[in-house]
Amino acid sequence: MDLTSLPRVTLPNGDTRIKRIAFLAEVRNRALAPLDTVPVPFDRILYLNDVNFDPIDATQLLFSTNIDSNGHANYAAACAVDFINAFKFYDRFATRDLEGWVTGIPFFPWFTSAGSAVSRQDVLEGKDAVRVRSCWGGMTAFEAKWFQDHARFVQTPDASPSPVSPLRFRYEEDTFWESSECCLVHADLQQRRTSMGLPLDSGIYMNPYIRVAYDPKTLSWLSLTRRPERLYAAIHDLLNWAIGFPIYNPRQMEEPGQEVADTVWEYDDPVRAYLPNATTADLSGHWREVTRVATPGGFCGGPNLLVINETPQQGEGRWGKIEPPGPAA
Amino acid sequence: METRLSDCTYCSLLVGQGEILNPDNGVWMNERMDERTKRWSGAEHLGYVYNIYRSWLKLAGADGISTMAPPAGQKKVVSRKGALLEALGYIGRQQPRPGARQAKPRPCLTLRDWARIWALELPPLPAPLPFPELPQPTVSPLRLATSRALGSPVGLGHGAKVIPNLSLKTPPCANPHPSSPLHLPTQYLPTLTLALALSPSRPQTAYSLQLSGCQRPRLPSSPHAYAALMSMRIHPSTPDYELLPRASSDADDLDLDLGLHPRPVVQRHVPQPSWLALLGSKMSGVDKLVDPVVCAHYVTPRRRKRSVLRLIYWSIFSVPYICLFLVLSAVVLFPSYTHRPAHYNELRNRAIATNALGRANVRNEKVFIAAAIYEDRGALTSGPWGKAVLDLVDLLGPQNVHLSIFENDPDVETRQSLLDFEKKAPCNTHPLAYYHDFVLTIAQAIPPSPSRTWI
Repeated sequence: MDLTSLPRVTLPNGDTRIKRIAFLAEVRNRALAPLDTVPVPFDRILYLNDVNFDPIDATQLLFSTNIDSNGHANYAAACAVDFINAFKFYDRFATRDLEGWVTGIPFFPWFTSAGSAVSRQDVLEGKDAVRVRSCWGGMTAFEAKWFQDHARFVQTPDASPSPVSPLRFRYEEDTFWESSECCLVHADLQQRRTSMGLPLDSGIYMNPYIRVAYDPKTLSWLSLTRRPERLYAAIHDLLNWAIGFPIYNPRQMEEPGQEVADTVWEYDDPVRAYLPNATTADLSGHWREVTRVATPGGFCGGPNLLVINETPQQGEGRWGKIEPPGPAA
Repeated sequence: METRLSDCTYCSLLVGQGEILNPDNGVWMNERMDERTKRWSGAEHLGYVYNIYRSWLKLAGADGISTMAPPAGQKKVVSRKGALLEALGYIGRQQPRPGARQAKPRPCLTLRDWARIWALELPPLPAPLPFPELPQPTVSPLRLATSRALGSPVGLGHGAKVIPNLSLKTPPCANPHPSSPLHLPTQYLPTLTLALALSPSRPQTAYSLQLSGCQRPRLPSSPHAYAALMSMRIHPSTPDYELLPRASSDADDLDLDLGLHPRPVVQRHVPQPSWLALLGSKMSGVDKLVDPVVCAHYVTPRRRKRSVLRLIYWSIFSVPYICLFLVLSAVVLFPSYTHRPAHYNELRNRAIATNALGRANVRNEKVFIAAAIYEDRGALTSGPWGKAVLDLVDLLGPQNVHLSIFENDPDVETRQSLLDFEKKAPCNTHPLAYYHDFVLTIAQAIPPSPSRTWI
């Protein structure tokens, strides 16, 4: 894929970078591209990561999660739970509880007791459809109509194309704010579904019966290692408290369209501030208020900048991270 | 060889960590290092205990103890002296590093140590000596023994190790010394401890091990009676004993010549009765406090500290077992996310009952399966991931599925793996639409990246 086709963000010193999430969102969207052209109205979309999974589990995620009285699986999105080892939950970046709180330490019951802790309660009650704000879990089923303009399949004379474009993955355009593309897609989905940023009924569910892993051996252990996990709840709470989870997110409760004032640090000399050997004096500056219109998915993000290392030197990784501007520590 | 008890000091061989029960007053004596001389001030007690042991050696014959097996984890000590000191727990304590904390002493004699000494050094017994496996006690044996006997933890300071209940299969014996004022204890010996009859006034001549050959007798029913009994026994009429004369208190200098040479008798200081004792003789309740046995039980801070430590030890080390119990009961009795709702199981049963295409997709829903993956040399598409995806297509029905896999910049093997995967995909047999070489925007330097999509 041509990186030059990807959008770039500008640093205070004038440099431009490619956001890593912009790249990942583009890659995910490429796999969705046939939705625009295939002449089939789809009912469901199943998005797979490079995870090991049981095919029957996948069908259960698709057709058994949160069934209504007609036996129809009723969700806007339903995720599996992914594990990096037999105990450790993997996808903290994209998972938010129903109030938008980030998860606690990555083992059962995953969600913290912050706020009303609806998601945590659902997990502890053993529900198959745990109400969440966002999740991914290595494998996510969606209601397809949000990703495909179904109006084009309706053979009526007054049928007009949908005013909004089909849902796709996107990145956070704010330079020093990053969110997972897999969280933003849920935020946008809820926005389209309810015209609200934080609807009480998110329509997004995590299904803890369906578990996937990043290697076959871990997958084979998951059916056993889940059995005693309800014992972990108290320890989980204790450790979250000790560590300070969930981490505060200033944009968690923002409603899309809302005007918000951010206080940002402006360097007096941005060029010198971004030099590798910048001194404390180079980092001098002042706080400034910047207003911004909130977009969906404030709960998804955190204050930093994840970039693609376009010219990796020996020993450097493909990804880089840049902290937002701030006074010298 | 039997010695009349009236001549004897009751010598209870109770040796603890740096502590010896002083048989004169029933108080545990701490041994401490004299900072000035770097010697153990309690060495006279060492000598005292050694003397008791010497009588054992005499009984057992010259080389009896040298064959004693070494305690676990320690090399065999061949000399009698070494074996003896080792058994006593004195090895390793004689020369502490200057400035360092007192080196960790060997624990007091374990039951096993006693058993070895006992088995090796006793003269042949009239009947087989049934020695059951003596477990490493978790409760102090004396406590155990006394608790067993009395049903209450009264004793000579808890924590000391003695042999409990040596069930000697000998007939009940008559009281051999009815006139002896100190005879009374004899019949209680088997249940209490090793008792050694030692003649304090004639140290070289009249050593004997007074083992009770009686059947296990009845014991005083109350702890007080027992304490009174013990008190009697440990107050000898003439509380002097032989002190081993030594030029140095270092153990290596101990003369272990089995007492063939006469030793001078050192007169031991006899403490005056304390004000408390005098008070105790007037007031009924106080005499129990004055009773050295009871007193020893309550005034031994080191021992009590050790029992606190033991409590902490067990609290800590029982945690894994409690956890294991909880986990096992959770795993068996209330497993999490294991028993799926009925409609999940129906779907699973349907999926495994037949091989029909689309068997898990009852409503024939159209499913778009998307995947954006990165793989090294086709590890995913030709591995378990690829198989799971193909099985899933089979369950959903190829006629209902559009599979779209995007892979950015695949390597050569991955490219081949994708082509093979395409051939295996059942979707090809029911194509609603087929996209070949879905060409993406490519920079000129990079070869085309295929995205395989099927319906």
